[in-house]
Amino acid sequence: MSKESNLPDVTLGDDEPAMARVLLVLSIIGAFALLILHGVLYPGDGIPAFGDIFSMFSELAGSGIWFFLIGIMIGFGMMIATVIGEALED
Amino acid sequence: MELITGMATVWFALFLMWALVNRGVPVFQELIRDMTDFFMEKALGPGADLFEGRAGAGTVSWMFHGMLWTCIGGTFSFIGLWMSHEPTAIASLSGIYYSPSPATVSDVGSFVASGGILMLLVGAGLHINSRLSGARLASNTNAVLTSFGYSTGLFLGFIGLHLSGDWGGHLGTAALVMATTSIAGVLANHLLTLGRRTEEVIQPSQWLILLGLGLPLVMTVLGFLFSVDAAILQSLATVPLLASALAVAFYVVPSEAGVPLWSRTLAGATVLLTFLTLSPIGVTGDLDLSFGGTAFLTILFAASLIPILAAAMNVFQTGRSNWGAASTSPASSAVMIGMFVLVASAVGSLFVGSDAHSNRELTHLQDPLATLFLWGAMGLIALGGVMTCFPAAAGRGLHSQDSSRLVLWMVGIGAVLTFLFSMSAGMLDSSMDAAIVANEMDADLVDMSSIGELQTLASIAFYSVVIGMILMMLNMIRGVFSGTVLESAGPDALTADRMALTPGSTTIRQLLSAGAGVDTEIEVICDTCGEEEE
Repeated sequence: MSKESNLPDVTLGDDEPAMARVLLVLSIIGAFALLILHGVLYPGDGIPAFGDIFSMFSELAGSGIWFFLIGIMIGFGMMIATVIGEALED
Repeated sequence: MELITGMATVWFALFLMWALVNRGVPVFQELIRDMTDFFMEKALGPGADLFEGRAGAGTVSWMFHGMLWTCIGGTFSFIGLWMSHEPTAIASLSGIYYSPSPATVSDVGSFVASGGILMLLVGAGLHINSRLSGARLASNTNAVLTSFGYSTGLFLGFIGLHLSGDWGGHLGTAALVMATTSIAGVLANHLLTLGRRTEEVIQPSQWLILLGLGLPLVMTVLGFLFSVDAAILQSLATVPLLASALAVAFYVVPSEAGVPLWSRTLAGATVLLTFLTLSPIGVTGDLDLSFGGTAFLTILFAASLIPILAAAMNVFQTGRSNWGAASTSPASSAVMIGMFVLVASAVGSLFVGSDAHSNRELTHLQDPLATLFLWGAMGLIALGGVMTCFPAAAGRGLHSQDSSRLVLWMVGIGAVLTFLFSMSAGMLDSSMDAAIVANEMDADLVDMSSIGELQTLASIAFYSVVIGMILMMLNMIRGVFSGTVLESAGPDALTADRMALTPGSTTIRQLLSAGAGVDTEIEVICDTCGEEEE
C-alpha cells in the first residue's frame, strides 16, 4: 500500500507566462485563422501579395516573398538601431 | 592510382603537422617563434595600431562579423529557396538593376552563410585554444585584424558571385586570397598560443582546431607541388567547418555540464579519423573517376562516419553525466541537438556523396542535405559556441537566456523542417520526371503544383532560421553593451621574466600594463651612465 499524500488532488501555482510569449502564440493563431478564413471566403484564390494590399507598392511588391523580406528588413533595422541606441546610451 | 597517392599526401601532411606541433622545428624554433610574433603585430605597422588588442577582442570580433554574415547568408538562402518555386519573386528589383537568377542567389547564400558560420566557429576556437592552453591568445590585435580580412574576402566573394565574366573570376580569386591569408594568420596565432601553454597536454579540441584549419592550407600548397585528385580536394573543403564544429562540441558540453569529456579513447578516435578519412558531406561529384577510384572513395566515405559517431556518443554521454546542467543550458542543448543532426546529415551524405561519383541517381537530395548540414548541424553547434564563448570573451553575459533558448528552437526546428520539405519536393520531382519519361507523357499535362507547395513550405520553415539568427545577433549586441558583467574566468596574463628599461621615470601601472609581475627582474640599461660616472 502506498502512503496517502497530504497534498490535495489539485494544486495551483502563482506563476504566469511572459506577456511576450502570450502575444506570440496569439499572433500565430491569428495568422492561421486569417489563412483559413481566406480559404473559406475566396476558395481557389492565391494569398494576396503585399502589393495587392498596399496599392502604393503594387508595382514593387507583387510576390508573397515581400511579407517575409519586410520582416527581415525590420530585423536588420533593429540591429542598426540597437547598436546606435546602446552606443549613445553608453 | 592518383587517388591513392593523393591520400598518401594527405596522410603525410597530417603526420608532418602532428610532428611539428609536438616537437617544434629543430634549431630554428626560437627564430620562427620570434619572426611570427613580429609579423603578426609589429610588421603590420599602422594596420595593427587601428585595433585594440584587449583580451577576448579577437573572439568578439570574429563572432560579430560571423553572425552578421550568417544573417546575410540566411537571407539570400531564403530568397534562393523561394525563387526555386517562384523565379520572378524579386523581379520588381530589376528597376534598380538587380535581377539575379535563382541559382546565383542560392550560390551567394550558401557561400556567405558557410563563411559566416565558419567565422563563428573560428571565433569560438580562438577562445577555446586560449583557455585550454592556460595562456592568453598570442595576439588579439592580429585576431581582430584577420577577422576584418576574412570579412573583406567574404564581401569580395559576395560581389564576385553576382558578376559574370572576367570580373566575377577576378573577385573570386581575390576573395580566396583574402580568406586564405586570414586563416593562415589565425593558424599562426593558435600555434604561438599553444607554444606558450602552461598545460602539458594538448587537448582534443586544440588538435581539431589546429588540424582543421591547417590541413586544407598545407594541402593547398602540396596540391601545387604534387598532383592531388580533385575528388580529395572536394572532400577536404568541408574539413575546416567539420573539425572546428567538433572542437566546439568537445569544449561546450563539458564546460556547461561541469564534467570532463566522457571518453579519452573516443575523443582520440575522433581527432585521428576525422583527418585520416574523407568526408562525403558537400560532395557534388561530376568528376571523371574510375570504378576502382569510386570504390576506394566509398570506403573512405564510410569510414568517415566513425569519428562523427564517436564524437556524438562522447558528447551525449558527457551531457548525460550531468543531465540537469547540460539540458538547462541553451548552449549545450544547441550543441547536442546539432550533433544529432550532424549524424543524420552524415549518414544521408554517405549515400548521396557515394552516388555523386557513380550512378548520380540521388543528386536531387544534395541541396536538402547541404542545408541540413550547414544550418541544422554546423549552425546549431556554432550557436552553442557563441552562447558559451562570447560572454566569456566579452566579459559580459548575453542579454537574455530566454532569447538564446528561443533561437535554438527556431534554428533547429526550422532547419529540420526545411530539409524534410525540400527533400520531399526533390523526391516527388524526381519520381514524377521518371514517370513522365517511362510513360511517354506530355510534361505540360502533369499537375506538378504539389512540388511548388512543398517548396513554399520549405522556404517558410527556413524563414524561422533567418529570424532566429537575427534575434541572436540582437542578443549579442545588447549583451556586449549592457549585459551583466562577468567575473574574469580567463587565464591570468603572462608575466615577463625579465624587463629592460631605459633611464627615466615610470609608474607601477605602466610596468604592470607592459607585462611585469611581482617576480619580474627589471634591468635598467644605460649606455652613457658609465661614461658620466668616469
